[in-house]
Amino acid sequence: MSKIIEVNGLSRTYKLKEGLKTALDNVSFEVEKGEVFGLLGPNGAGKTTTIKILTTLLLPTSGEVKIFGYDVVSDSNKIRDKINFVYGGEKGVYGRLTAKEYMHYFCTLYKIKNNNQNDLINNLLTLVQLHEAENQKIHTFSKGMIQRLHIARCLINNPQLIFLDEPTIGLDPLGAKLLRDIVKQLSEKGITIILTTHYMQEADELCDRIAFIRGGKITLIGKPDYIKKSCNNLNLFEATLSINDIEKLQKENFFRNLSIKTIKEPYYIINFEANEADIEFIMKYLSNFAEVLDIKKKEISLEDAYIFHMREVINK
Amino acid sequence: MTTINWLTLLVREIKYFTNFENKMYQFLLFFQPLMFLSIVYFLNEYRGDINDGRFVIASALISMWSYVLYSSGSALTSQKWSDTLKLLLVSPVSLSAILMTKVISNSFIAMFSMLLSFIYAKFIFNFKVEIASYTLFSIAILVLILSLSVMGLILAIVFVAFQNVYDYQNLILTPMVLMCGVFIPVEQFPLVVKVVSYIIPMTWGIKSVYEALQLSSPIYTTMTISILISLFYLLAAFFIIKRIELLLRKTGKLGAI
Ligand SMILES: Nc1ncnc2c1ncn2[C@@H]1O[C@H](COP(=O)(O)OP(=O)(O)OP(=O)(O)O)[C@@H](O)[C@H]1O
Ligand SMILES: [Mg+2]
Repeated sequence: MSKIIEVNGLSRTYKLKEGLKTALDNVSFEVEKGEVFGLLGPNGAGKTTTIKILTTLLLPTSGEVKIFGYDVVSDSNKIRDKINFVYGGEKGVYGRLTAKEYMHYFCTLYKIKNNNQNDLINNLLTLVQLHEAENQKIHTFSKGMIQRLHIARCLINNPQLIFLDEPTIGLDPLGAKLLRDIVKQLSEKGITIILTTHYMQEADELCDRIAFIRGGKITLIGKPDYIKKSCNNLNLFEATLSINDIEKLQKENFFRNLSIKTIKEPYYIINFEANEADIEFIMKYLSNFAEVLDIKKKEISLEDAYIFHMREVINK
Repeated sequence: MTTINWLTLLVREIKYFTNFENKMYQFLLFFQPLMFLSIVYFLNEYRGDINDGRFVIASALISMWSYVLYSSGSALTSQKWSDTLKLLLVSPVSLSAILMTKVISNSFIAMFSMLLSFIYAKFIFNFKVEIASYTLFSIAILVLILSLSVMGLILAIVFVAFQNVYDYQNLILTPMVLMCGVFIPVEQFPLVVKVVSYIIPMTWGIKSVYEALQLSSPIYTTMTISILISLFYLLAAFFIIKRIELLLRKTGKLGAI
C-alpha cells in the first residue's frame, strides 16, 4: 500500500496579541491510499489547523508534511490539482448564484472544458441529490443542501484525496445519513478521505482509522476496534435495580460516573464505571444496597473510549 | 492557464457576479450621471459658458470611478467574508488571474454609465457632445478601462492588506476625482500635487479620453504613457498578490474569522 499523507513532527503556532499560541505540537502520522481517516478531538484541539496545513492553505511552523510525496510548502501546486476539501457550515458559497452557476464557475476555475461541464455538473448534482434544485439560488438553500453542494463542488477536479472538516455539523439525521452514504460511496471508489467530526458514532461507522488529538498532540491512533480495546481498564456496567435509598448509592465511591434513570420508584436503571471487572463481584457489592434485577457489562463504544481517553489525558 | 479558459472565466464573472440588484450600484451607474448632468444643465442655464462635452464625460467618469472603487475595492475582502477565498486559492487558476477577471468585469460594467451619460446628455438635456473621431475615442475608452482595472486591482490589494483603510473608502472617492483631472486639467495643479497625480494610472486614462474628444495633438503619447503606467502597476500588483498569498498562508487569516 502506498502512503498518501506523511506528517512528520508537524508544529504550528499562531501569533496572538497575548503571545504565541501553539495549535499543533510535534504531530506525526501517516495515511494510506483508500483509507477513511478520522481526526477526533475537543474544540480547539488542532483538527482544522491540521487540515488547513494538509490542504496547503496554511504553512507549518516546523516539521514536514508530504501529500502524494510532494511537500506542502514547496510543491503546493502539484498537490492542489489532486485534492479538494469541504468545510462544515454555511459559508463558502455565493448566495446569489444558482447551484448550477456555482458549479459552472468552479468548473471553469478547474479548467474543465466548456463542452464537458454540463454533463459533469449533472452527474455531480445527481450524486448529491441536488438535481432538482439546480436552478435555485443558493441563498434559499438549507444547511444540508449547501453541504451537499460543497461535496459536489469538491468532486469537480476528480480528487484522489478529500478533506471533510465537520461535514455533518448542523444537519438533521436524514441529511447526515445522506452525507455519510456519499462518503461511503466515495471511499468505495478508492478515494482517500480525511474526516473530522464531533459525532463518535459517525466516526465509528465511517473511519478505517482514527487519531485522537488534544491540545495539539495526537494522543492515540489506530483502528476503531484497537481504540476501544485500548480502554481495557474501563469497565462499564448497566444494572436494573429495585432500591429504596438511591441516595446512599450515590454517595458510594465505588460507582464512578454514576448515572441514574428512574423507571418507576423503586425501580432504576443505573450506569457506572468500576475499577473491578468481575461482574459477579459487582453484583455482590450492589446487593448490599439494592435488589439487582439485571446487570450486564457494557460493550465499549467509541464515545465511551473517547470520553475515557480524554479524561485520562487530562489527569496525566 | 489558456487564454480561452481565462476569457470564459471573465464571461462567467460578468454574467454571475455583476450585481445590478445592489441599490448603491444602481444609483452609481444609472442615477448619478443623471444627477450630475442636471447640475451641469442648471449651471449652464445660469452662466452659459460651460463646455458641454467635457462635463458629460466628467459626470460619466465620476460614476465609473465610484463604481470601480466600491466593486473592485471589495473584490478580495468580499471573498474573505464569504469564506470563498480559500476555494479560489487552491484552484489551479492563480489569484491574480481571478482578480483580473473581477476588476476588468467591473470596469467594463462601469462603461455603462459612460454610455448612459451620452444618452442622457443627448436626449434629456440636449447637450452638444462632439466626438471628432469615434475610432480614436473608442480606443481611448479602452485605454481608460485598462487604467480603471489596474486601479481596481490596487484598491482590492490595499483594502485587503489594510483592513482599517476599508472604512475610509468614502473619503478617497472625491479627492481622487479631483486629483485625476476630471474637472480641472492636471497641468494646472501645483507641482507636488501634479507629481502625485501623474503617478496615478487613472489620470492618464482620463487624459486620453479628454484628448481623444478634442483630438488634441499629444493623444498618442498620452495613450502610450497610460498603457505603460497601467502595465507597470499590473506587474507590481501581480507581485504583491503573490506576497499576499504567502502572507495569508503564513498567518492563517484566510477567512472571515
Ligand atoms: N487564525 C488563528 N489565529 C489564532 N489562533 C488560532 C487561529 N486558528 C486557530 N487558532 C487556535 O488554534 C487552536 C486550534 O484550533 P483549530 O481550529 O485547529 O481547532 P479544532 O480542533 O478544529 O477545533 P473545533 O473542534 O472547535 O473546530 C485553538 O486554540 C485556536 O484558538
Ligand atoms: Mg475545527
